[in-house]
Amino acid sequence: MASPPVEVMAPTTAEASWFCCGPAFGPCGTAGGGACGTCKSASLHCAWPNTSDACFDITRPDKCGDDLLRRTCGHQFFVKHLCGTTEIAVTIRDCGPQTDLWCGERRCCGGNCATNRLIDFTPAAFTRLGSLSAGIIPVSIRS
Amino acid sequence: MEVLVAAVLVWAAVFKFRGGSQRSALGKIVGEHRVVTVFRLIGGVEVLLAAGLLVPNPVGKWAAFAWFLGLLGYLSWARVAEPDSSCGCLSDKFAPVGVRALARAVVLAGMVVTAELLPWYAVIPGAVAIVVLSAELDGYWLIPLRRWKVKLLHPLGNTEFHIPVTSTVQQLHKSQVYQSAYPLLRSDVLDTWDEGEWRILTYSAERDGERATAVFAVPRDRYDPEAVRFALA
Amino acid sequence: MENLGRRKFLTSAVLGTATTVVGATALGSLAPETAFADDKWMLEPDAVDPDFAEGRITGIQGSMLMVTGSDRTFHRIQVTGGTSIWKLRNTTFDEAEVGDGLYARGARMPDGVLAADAIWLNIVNLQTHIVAINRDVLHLDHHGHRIVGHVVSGTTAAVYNGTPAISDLSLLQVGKHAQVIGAWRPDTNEVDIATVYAAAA
Repeated sequence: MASPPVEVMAPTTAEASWFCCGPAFGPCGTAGGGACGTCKSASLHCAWPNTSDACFDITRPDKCGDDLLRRTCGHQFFVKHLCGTTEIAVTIRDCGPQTDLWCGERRCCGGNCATNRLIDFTPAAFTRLGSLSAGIIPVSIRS
Repeated sequence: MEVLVAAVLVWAAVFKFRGGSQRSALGKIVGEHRVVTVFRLIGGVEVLLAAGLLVPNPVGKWAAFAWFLGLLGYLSWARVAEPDSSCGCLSDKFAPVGVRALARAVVLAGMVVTAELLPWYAVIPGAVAIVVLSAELDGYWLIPLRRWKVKLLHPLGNTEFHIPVTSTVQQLHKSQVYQSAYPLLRSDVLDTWDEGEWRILTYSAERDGERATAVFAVPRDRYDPEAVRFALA
Repeated sequence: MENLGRRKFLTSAVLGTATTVVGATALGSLAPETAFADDKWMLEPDAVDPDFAEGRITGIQGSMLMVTGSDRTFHRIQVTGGTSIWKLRNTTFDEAEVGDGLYARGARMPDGVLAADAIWLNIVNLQTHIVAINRDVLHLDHHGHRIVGHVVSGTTAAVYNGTPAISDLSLLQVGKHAQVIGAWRPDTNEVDIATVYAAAA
């Protein structure tokens, strides 16, 4: 039932959305520096659902059958749009997304699909992979 | 009146013995790993205060009064310092510290000290006030009430039917053509217009260092991603 | 007029009704795995992405946007005919106004100007709960702050449980969570809704 843990070598696929952090305009302005304190919208940062016990208790990826490894602030992932050719390095700087709110949701590019929201990017990181207006994109993640 | 306040305290204590809220601002003061212990401790104090209220004596009354003032202070601090945190007062339901949580602490403190001056039936408006001021209880009365209103009035029942561009973009994303063309795209949607049964979408593209316009034609009124056409102009 | 001619040209390019199209490429030759080597992008963990800008428009000079970042960095952003502009929907440069917030992606030129590929004006992505629904308005709770979301007829779309977007919003339910992509109305707590993602009732 549960998919295998996100292993160090094996890439996994996931849906990704974006969030703002650090100083920003509009309703984002109250977001602050994220769970790690130094998150910035203009840097290549990301949020991961299992950065700590307290974080995991909120995001609950296990409820969607995803067994994610603990990766703490500062860990780097390599991510790519499922149809893209550019891979970028993103650094964990926050806790999120709230995976259990969207269990089973699927996003595709052509025939390549990804299920469940396991990662969120800052606008800088997200726009290196896709368009902000799309809201959610399918990506692959590897450590 | 004391019974009502004692009941609220016991309710709060029971919730805290069950582990409390992960999203309260408490973690900021005592450290995340001690939150559960501190919640239990507070729960214990609340049970003692409830017992103190039920046995008529001035100490119990003023202790409870001081407790609610302390709560008011804590909530005011949490509202300023940790605006994203939950009250963590009565339930695990996410209920940000708002004006209502503050008002509830004031009402409870007021009820404790004025209990002897009020007739017994003041307990009814008192209970109503606590329910109304408890964001944790909204799910039982406020949300059903608002859903019922939506059902009656259909405020979003705007029947004008159209195919949103978002929908066309989603269909485009499902096509093989888009999958192949994706690495060339440099921008978001540049322009879009309808041409017969087609909706045309254009993007900025780059191929071998040369800028071009990527043009997609997507069926507008039917779902058929395989029919999507593409040109680089 | 120029725009109409351009549309006509591109329409014929993609639907192949004209034979005079020059430079239009058939798709068959585009195989990314052979045509493109994999790129990699790495920055220092806390470095600011040089090809990105965030901030509020403080001035517009011709096709150049003057933008002050929320971290007080100053950006000059060059807009061209190939720059996509989003403000609730895809739109044109003349909709940009002083005071608008923006995110821009492009390429930083040697003179410090950001040549923009894409600009998103006032875009927000909010994880909310629906608190109440009134006529063409959603009242949303966003981390304890109240946001007023306006439904814009002809643009606002809803995605229920990940199914294709539709214009029918009547399945939205008070008390449920909803993700809103929208355009912020500068200096208010109001947004115009582009897309709302929700669980169906």
